[in-house]
Amino acid sequence: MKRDLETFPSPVSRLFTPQQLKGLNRLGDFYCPGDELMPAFSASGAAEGIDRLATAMHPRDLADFRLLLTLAARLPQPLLASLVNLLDQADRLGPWAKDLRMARLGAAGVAYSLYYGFAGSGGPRVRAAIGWDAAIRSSISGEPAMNQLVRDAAPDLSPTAATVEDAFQRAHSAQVTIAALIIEQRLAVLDRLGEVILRRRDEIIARVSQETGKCATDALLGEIFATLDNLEYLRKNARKLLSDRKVATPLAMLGKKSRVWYEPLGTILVIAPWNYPFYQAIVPISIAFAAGNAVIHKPSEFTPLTGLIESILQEAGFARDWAQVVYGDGKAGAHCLAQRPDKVFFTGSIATGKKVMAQAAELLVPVELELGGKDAMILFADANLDRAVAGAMWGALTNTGQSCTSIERLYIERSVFDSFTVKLVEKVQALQLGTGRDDDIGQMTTAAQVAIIRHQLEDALAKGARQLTGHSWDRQSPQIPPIVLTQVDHSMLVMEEESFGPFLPLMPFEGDDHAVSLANRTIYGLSACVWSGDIARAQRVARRLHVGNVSINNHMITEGNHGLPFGGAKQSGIGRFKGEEGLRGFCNIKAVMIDGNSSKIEANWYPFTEAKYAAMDKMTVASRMRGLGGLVRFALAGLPLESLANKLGRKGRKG
Amino acid sequence: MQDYDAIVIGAGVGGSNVAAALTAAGMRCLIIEAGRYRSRQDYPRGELDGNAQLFWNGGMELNTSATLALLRARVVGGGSIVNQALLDEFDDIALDDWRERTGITWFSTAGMAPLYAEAKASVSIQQVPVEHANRNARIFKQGFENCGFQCKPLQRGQSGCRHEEGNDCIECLYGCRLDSKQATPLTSLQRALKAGAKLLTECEVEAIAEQAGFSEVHARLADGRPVSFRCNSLILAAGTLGSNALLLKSGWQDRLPALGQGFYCHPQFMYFARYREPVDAQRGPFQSYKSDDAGFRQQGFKLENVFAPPIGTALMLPGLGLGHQRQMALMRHFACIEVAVRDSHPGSLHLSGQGRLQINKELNSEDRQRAKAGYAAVERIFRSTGAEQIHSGRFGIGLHLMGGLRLARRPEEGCVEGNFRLFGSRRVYAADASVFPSAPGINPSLTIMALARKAAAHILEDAR
Repeated sequence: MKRDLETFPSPVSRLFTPQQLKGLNRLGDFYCPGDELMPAFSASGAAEGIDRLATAMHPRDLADFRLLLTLAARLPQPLLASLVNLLDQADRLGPWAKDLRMARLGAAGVAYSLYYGFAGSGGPRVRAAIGWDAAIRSSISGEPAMNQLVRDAAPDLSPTAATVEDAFQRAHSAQVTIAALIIEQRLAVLDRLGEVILRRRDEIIARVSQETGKCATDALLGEIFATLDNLEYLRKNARKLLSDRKVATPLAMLGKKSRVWYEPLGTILVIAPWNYPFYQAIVPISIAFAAGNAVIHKPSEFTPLTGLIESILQEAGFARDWAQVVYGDGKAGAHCLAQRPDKVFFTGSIATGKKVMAQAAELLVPVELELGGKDAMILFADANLDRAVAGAMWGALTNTGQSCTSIERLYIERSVFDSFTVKLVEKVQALQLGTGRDDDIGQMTTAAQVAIIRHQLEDALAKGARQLTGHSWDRQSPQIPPIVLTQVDHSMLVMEEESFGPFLPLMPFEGDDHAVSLANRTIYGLSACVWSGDIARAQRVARRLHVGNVSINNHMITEGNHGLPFGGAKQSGIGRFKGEEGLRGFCNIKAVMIDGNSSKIEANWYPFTEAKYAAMDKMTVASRMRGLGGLVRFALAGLPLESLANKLGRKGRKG
Repeated sequence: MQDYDAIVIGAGVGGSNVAAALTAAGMRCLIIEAGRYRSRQDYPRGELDGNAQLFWNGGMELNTSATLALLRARVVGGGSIVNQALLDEFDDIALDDWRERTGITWFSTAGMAPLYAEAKASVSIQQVPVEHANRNARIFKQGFENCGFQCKPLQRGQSGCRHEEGNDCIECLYGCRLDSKQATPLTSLQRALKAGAKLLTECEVEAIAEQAGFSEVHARLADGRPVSFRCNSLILAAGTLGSNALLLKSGWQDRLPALGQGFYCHPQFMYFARYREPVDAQRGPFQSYKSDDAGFRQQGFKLENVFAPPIGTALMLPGLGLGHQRQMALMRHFACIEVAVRDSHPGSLHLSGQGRLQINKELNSEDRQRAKAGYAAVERIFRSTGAEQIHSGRFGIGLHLMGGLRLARRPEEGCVEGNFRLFGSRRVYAADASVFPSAPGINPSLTIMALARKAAAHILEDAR
């Protein structure tokens, strides 16, 4: 415990411990002991300015200086006095005394800088005592023209072709190193990654909240908890899932061994969206890395989390090139794709997904696309209504509706439509807007998304929808209250196009067929949920929905289980992420057969002869026979064929 | 496809001038600067933050024996933000030496005249108004007269310091808040940006490389993000320490045997004299006069009419504890003169095992003799004007950092050819004081401006 206290930064300084500050004050008092006119160094509060100076120090100087201060804090007063006096003589000593001179410049330099730099509350007294009154008394108003010139001159830092090429080259060479690690070593790195994320979670949540506008709880659950959960899944399962797999060998190939090897693909390009910028960075990176791949991660230009991912990976023990971040907009993504990664894992909109796939098609780069959704909730009258209301709110509004699997259409069995609506409106109005820990609904992340919500709302209202909540929204602010709509139909954008915002549009249905046909009436097929007291009925309906993921009496929970695959049907995507399928999706799945190094010549090898044909024909017929008889016939046909093939193979056609 | 026609590393005097010339000629130019951009609105107030925010390593870099402190700026504008903007032409003594060392024929007062004229025309130059000279300057002038030395009023790159409004120019050592001092953001850099040059600030270049057909720059942004650029022409103008360190870190010592050799810094030694009456050296113009004495020049030094703000003064003054503090309380009674040695003995720049720049620079007996002769003159000046006590500064300072990539005839003698290109390179140039072949003994700023323009002309010619 004692050690913790001493190494923990003091409230005054981010860079020094209270003990080191004590050392600074003791040292400072030798240089500036104070008299009736001037305060002593320690009494002047000058030490409080230490970070202003220390942040500019060379890291090695800073380390040396910390050492000096620790020493100064611990040395008995007479010894410290002798040390300071010795340092003071160093100017007159020969070249050998360079370290003493440096120490004196460090000690006196910092003490004088803080004291005669008038840091701390005693600063004005020191200034008055030495009569320092230099000043610039004229003032020029207005902003210098150069400020705008400098702003305009900042180069576009979206990565150039050269940067991207360089990053890929480094990734390719790094991948060899990653592949050489045994799986336990890779998982050990991922384990440390989990530790680092847990330790730095407040910082991560703050950065994510700042860039996305999401509320703290959404960030904690969606970015930290879910990411850690996935790392845990990998820790428990990756070794088993990536182990060589035995496959049964057919009788005709008796004596051979069949295997599947799960090998790395190479370099994976991850193009991530802005709605879960941390999760969508770390999760694909760690899955791809577990499978032995290097990763190039291209975050959204709206939520780059600049430097954060690298810093966290580095702290966990990732070498710099194992997973690199390339920043920029779609152009940067296209530059990356042009480098022909071994797979591109894209999460984002349908529109961008089409562009990615088109470019990938030219290069024959395998794609995995996780695209948008227009998820339906089907609520039967026999469901627990209170639970369904709470679930619908969370499913539609978590992350302010900016999840690809948000509930965007609510189909309610007509008999409970009114009672459900009343309960929902009441509950929704109690939700609290804001980004703090006490808030439920955060802000929209991008201005473009705010514009979509405005457009869909105006379209719906113009076509006769009734808005039950969210009237306070000025249609500009990114802080949008939940909007419950009734009297909606499929002519409205809000029922047809992805909203990615806090809408809850409600439509009544009658009977299973009606519900299923409404829910399937979309180009999307990401996920859906069915709520009913009759689980068998719910499952029957769920099987008829054209989606990649479905939850019964809940929503989005398939994503919570990292052992389940995730992905879309129809235009919601291609491929599966996470779970066994996801991990193997980042693998080159290599089929292997191992035969012995015997003298045997295979029956299907040359030469082909009349006699051999006849024997093979017999065997082909026998292969279709079932039961013990079939097996015996197969063996009877096979054995002569084998000896014939061996003879022919060795002695040739004439033999 | 290259990202830029030219990349200039460093937005100081050399870099800004070369970028302005290249951009004006139509090149697509990027200037990369490690420091931040600051304007009169946000220059640090005071010495503590000034040292910390405008200089590398908090304002303190030492030679290996820790006897000289070297200052190099880290800010858009480089030295021109923190210097005194003294714009002096070199004389025959300096230029003849350079011509002899390099064989470059235009190193003569006649050959440099058009370059100097152009450089001077690009800034506002004023004589420091002697009617506002403070008592520190008057003591300097009086002493010179008493001792029969020659001095004259200073020419300075400024556009009006409005001393009548009570401005004390010592404050402008951390950036001129009056926009009077002719720093590059007001002059050459501003021209470069107006002509379309790009400027990337707070970006530290870590390595450069030359490939067949292009050059590469690998750098790191303040947030730790790496960035790389490609260009045709690459111009080192990171200041002498910066340009040398960059080439050393990039492993060019094998190609350039003389890399880091021939480092000069005009070692300066401050002397403080206490007078009975207040001197108030902090008032008005920082400096008003300069020594203009043929005898001094011959003996290899000059005297400067300067002062230092409180932290600098405290570090220089001898004594410890209360004795030292009582001297500081008398700060307003101090006058100050500095001896600047024209150093004849070169130092050298290396990388330490940890990759940190190591500066080997000592005074040999000749240079110590020069410093001593300077002190003898200072002592006479102070005594003749009634000084009660004289304090010698504790250590030397280097403000004019020069050499290491010297212009030379052959790679054994330096790193840069007469066309400012590195020996053996097709597209990497140097255009700051690192190309100086020796110490001129005169303030280098105007000559850096002139040489940068000359370098730009060669770069444009090569690119054609």
